[in-house]
Amino acid sequence: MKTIMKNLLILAAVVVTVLLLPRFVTSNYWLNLINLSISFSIACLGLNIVLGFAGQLSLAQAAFWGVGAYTSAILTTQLGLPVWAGMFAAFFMAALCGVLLGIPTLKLSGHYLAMATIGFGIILQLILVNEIWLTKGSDGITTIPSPWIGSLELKDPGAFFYVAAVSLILLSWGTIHLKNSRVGRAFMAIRENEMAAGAMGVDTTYYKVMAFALSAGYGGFGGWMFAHSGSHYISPDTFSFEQSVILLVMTVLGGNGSVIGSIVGATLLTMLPEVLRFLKDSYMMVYAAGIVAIMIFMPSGIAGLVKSMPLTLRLRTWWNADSRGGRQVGGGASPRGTYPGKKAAFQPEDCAGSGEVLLTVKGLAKHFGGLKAVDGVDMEVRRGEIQALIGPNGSGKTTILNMLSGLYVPTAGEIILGGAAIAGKKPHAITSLGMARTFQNIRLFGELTVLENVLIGRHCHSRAGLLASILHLPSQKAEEAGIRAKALEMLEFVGLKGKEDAQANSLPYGQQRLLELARALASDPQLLLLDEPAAGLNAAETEALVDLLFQICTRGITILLVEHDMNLVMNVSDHITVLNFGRKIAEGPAEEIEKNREVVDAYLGTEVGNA
Amino acid sequence: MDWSTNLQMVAAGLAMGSIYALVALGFVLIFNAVNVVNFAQGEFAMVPAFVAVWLMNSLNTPFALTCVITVVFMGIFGIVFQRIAYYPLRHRSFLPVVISTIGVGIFLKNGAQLIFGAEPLSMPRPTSPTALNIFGVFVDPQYIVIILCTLILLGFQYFFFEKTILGKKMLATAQDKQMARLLGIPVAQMIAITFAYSSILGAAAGILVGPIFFVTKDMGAMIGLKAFCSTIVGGFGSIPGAILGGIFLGVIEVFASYYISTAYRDAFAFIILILVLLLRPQGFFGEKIAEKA
Repeated sequence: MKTIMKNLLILAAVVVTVLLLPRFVTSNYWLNLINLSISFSIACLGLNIVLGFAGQLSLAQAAFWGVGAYTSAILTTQLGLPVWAGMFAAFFMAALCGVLLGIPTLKLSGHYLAMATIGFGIILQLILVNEIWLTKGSDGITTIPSPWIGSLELKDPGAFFYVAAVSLILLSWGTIHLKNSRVGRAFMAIRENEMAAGAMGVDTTYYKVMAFALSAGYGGFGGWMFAHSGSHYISPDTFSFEQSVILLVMTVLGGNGSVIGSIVGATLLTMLPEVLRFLKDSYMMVYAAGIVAIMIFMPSGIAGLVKSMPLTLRLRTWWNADSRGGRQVGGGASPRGTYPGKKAAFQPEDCAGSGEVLLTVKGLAKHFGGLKAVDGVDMEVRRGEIQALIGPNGSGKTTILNMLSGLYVPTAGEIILGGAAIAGKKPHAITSLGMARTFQNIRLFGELTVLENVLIGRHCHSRAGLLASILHLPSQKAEEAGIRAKALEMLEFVGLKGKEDAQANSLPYGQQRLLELARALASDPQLLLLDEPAAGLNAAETEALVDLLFQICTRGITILLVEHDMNLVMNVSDHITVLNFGRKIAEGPAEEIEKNREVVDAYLGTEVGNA
Repeated sequence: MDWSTNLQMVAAGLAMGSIYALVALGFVLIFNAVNVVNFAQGEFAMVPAFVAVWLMNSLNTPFALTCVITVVFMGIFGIVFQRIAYYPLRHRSFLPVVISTIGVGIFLKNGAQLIFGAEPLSMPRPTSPTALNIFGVFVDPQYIVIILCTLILLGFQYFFFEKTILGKKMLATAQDKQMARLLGIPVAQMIAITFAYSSILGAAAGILVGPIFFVTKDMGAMIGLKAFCSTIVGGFGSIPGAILGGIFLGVIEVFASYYISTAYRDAFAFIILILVLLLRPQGFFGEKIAEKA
């Protein structure tokens, strides 16, 4: 395949550069600087995972860098362990700190991590300065050994460069694979919309902690490299909050989320102060002003600028020219849907199922303080049916959906899905038991492509873990192909074929609704919850939606629908449950509900009666 | 473990806690108004301390006039700050704004060092340096000034938000910008005033704490972080929570550094923060808020 040729080409270019660089750069000063910039690059790659991929702000990357440096330095100088053992220890020690710090702070969303990481940095400084028996205090640790390969000591910066370069290449390679894997997509889903990520089956806390720990591990690895090269000396003040901020600037300058960008940013800002020595006293000010300017004027960093240059666009087209074909091969699933063709001649009876109860709700209640949004609702949804939940605004429809899908914990009551009690479970756990949903106000992963959105819907039917994703193992590749096939099938089913590479939030409104539907369907739900799927659609789009709902139904998927469009509701529903003020006021087949006096008074008015 | 030492520590803790509370209030007001955590909040206390020291030491400005000038300066400072760090990014997600406030914070810290030098400066005391003997308990009079000033400010703030129309407009803006705009409230102006007020609270904190410690470029960072911890301990977004959280942390810190370890004094606030996040993430006064689906 040609893609392999191109990959080999890049590999060859990288190898030649690495081999030749120490021949051209002979000054130890510059070689040390290059090694330092590689150490920073690795720390920034890590920061890029937690910030760029997962969207969580960590302000302690220099502290993790320090944990790695100190762990390895202490183990090698005081216990005489080999430097290579120190490398693993540095990585795992930093990652462990990440896990311990991440668990309390990352179960919450928002800014807690940022502050907690600053606190971690301060505590680390205090330990490094005060625990002299372990860290030698403010004096720092001197004469840290160099790594050995066989009988060869890599003391010379030119020799150490090979270790540094190979590490950087392997880590970048792994990180790029990670970005395009199930795990990487879970990270990005959290960044884009944490609530939707959870509803699509991503255990958000778990993946946030994973991203943070991995990021810390990279930081520790970078620290190991710093300790065993250059001046072979470390002291507490190197690993300051300011250094964390510098690493942050490197990452956002390079382009948040871009792997190559992190390396470019780190290299540029390591070399820049050397060139701009005259700034000496004010260089932190220049950095700081730089952060603000980047945020305001080039939010996507250097990577963003490069991406939009004409030359890159042409290169990209060349690159995609035949690697695209390879991907489509996997997508040869049977085209089942007829949409958007002619209206299929479906009768609602076609999809009426076995009549077995799929979802049982008993005494469900949700109180917000004194407000009883939902107050003791019982209902049943039968397998294979389309059931609608209707009622005036504020009657508790969406609150019920939120409890069913795990976004709210019910105040009281039971929810049983196919025999399993799910009340109070986390959204991702409920999704993996076979319930998927869409949202009233669309919650897509806006910056990701259409295809990626649907791939994330497949999350709970795939298993590739962190290691498999980074190493790009054959099992992961095979699974990935399967996910893609399913995702492409779903896109075709809802009529979005050909839009795979479009950015999700660039789609017109109606198509965004369809994409949300495709994403939910990708998780192979038994029960699909739709929260006002027709809101904002025009007449033609609504008609197409009706069609689609019947087709979903014939696939054996049960639908629970909240909707205000009564024509649609009466048209598709087998059963209707009516709510008012958080209580059920009626229930039954559509024809009965239409005639029910109480329902007409409370909600329908006379309009539908006339229709 | 005699009671007078403990009471002295309570006084010191209440004083430090008041400082944290003032800065924490600034945090909460800005957060409620624009949903942004201002990472430069501590610098809102560092900058006025430098301004006040410079006025008093270099220009021999009398204390009262120094206070007035510093407060006015910080009011303007708050408006300029929001124009640079917040306004251009107001339509973006919280991350760019947070990063930009960090940037401005570092800029201010290093700017202060460039202008005033790296040496710690001492601020002239408005109060006598000899401790007052209150029934056998020796208390630094500055502590009493801090506690009293904080109480007066809190009283003023209560009056301002409860009784004045400007305060009501600011509250309305914080509740729902769209609605406030429809009612003819100049939202951008209200936000600017919120930043100005938050920055003036910082001025009070900076001038009050200056005489106890040396004025350094790093003083703000630590105060800011502990103030943030206070807001979480008290319940994020809650005004009484921020005040009580600050006072709680101030007192705990003094006792812990006396009875447990002086070297790790600055670590206790964060240890408490982590414990609160683990055990009661909504804080003492916070309500559990669920995002609307």
